[in-house]
Amino acid sequence: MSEILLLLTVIVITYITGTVIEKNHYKSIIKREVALVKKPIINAGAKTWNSKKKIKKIELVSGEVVISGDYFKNFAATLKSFFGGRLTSFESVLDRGRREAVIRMRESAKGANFIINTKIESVMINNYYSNNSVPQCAIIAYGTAITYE
Amino acid sequence: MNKEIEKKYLENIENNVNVGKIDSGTEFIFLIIALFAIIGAFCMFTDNLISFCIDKISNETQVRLERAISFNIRNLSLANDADTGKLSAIVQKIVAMDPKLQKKSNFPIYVINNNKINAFIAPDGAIFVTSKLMDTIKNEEMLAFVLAHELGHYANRDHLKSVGKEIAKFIATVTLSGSNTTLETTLNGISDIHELKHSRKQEKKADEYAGLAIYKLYGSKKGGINFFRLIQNEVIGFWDIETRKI
Repeated sequence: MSEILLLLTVIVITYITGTVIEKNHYKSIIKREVALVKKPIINAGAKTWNSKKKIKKIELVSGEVVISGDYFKNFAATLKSFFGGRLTSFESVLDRGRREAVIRMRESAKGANFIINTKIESVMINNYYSNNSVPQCAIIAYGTAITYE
Repeated sequence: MNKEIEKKYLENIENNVNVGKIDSGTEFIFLIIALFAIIGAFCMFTDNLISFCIDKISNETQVRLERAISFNIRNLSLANDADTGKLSAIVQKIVAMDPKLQKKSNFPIYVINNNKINAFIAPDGAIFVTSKLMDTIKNEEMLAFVLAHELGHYANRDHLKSVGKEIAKFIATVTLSGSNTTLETTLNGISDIHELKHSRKQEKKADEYAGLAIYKLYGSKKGGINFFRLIQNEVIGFWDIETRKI
C-alpha cells in the first residue's frame, strides 16, 4: 500500500511540474515561431534551387534539441500501452522537440532567405532496454541556408 | 512574403494538429478507472473460483496442503517461559464444538515476544499470540474470543484461500506487466486495494465465528465486546492497522 501511495505522490508532483514546464515551453515556441514568420522560409523538398537572383552565401545550418518526457507522461504511456492506441502524452513531447529544433535551425540561419533540403532526424539517447528509464529523445533539424546578394 | 501564406502559417502555429486534444491528466484518470475495473473483475472472479475450489477439497487434502506450506516458526522470537496451559484448554473446548476443526491439527500455542496486541494462526494450525496480549488480557472470555477468531480463520480455510489468491495474483501480475516494474507496482497496488475489501470480509466472518463460539461456551458475547473496547482504547497508529492481524 505504501508503494502505491508513493507512486501516486510522484505521479501528481510530476504531472503538475510537467504541465507547467510544457505550457511555458509552448508559450516560448509560439512566440519565437511568430517572430520567425518572415525570416528564412524552409523548403524541405527542394534538392536543387533555381533562381535568377545572385547567391551570396550557402551554408549548412542546424538546430539540435534533447527532450525528455516526465515521469507522469512515461507512466501514462505505460498504462496506455497496456490497452493500446495513441500515446498522446508523448505526442506533445515529440512536437515540442521537433518545433524547438526547427526554430533553433532557423535562428542560426541569420540573414538567410531560404533553407532548402531541410531534414529532421531523431534518436533515442537513453538506455531503452531499461524498464525504468524515462524516454529521452535527441532531435536534429538541418538544411542548407541560402542568402541572396 | 505572401500574406496568405503568412496567415496560413500563423494559423498552423495556433492549431497544432500533431498533438492530441485530450488532456493527458483526463486520459490518465480514464486509464486508471479502466484498469481498476479490469483488476476488480479479475479479483472477484479469482476470489470466487478459489473460494469455491478450497471449500470443496477434502480434509485430507487440506492437511496435505497445510503441511506443504506450514509456517516456519524458527525465525520468531518465542517466549519460552510463557504459560500456555490456560489458552490450550480454551482451544480444546472450541475444537470440541466444531467438527471442521477436528482431526486436523493439535493447534499448539506459542507466545512470541512482541509489544503489540496481536495473534495469528499458521497454516498448520499453530496459534501465535504476542507477549503483550498475554500481559494485557487476563479475562478468559476475552482470550477465548481472540482464540476463536483465529480458529474461525482456520475453519473457513482462509489461509489456503489467501495462498491461492496470492499465486493467482502473482501469475496475473507477471503475465500482464511483463518485466515492466512500474506497471507491476500499479497492478499490485490496485489488487491490494481490492484485497482490503476481501480481507475485511474474512475478518468479519472470523468475528462472527468467534462470537458464536464464546456464546456457546459462556452463554454471552461479553468477551468479544470487551475485547473490542480494549483494542479501541489502545493507541493504534495508521501503520499499525496495516500490520494488525487480529
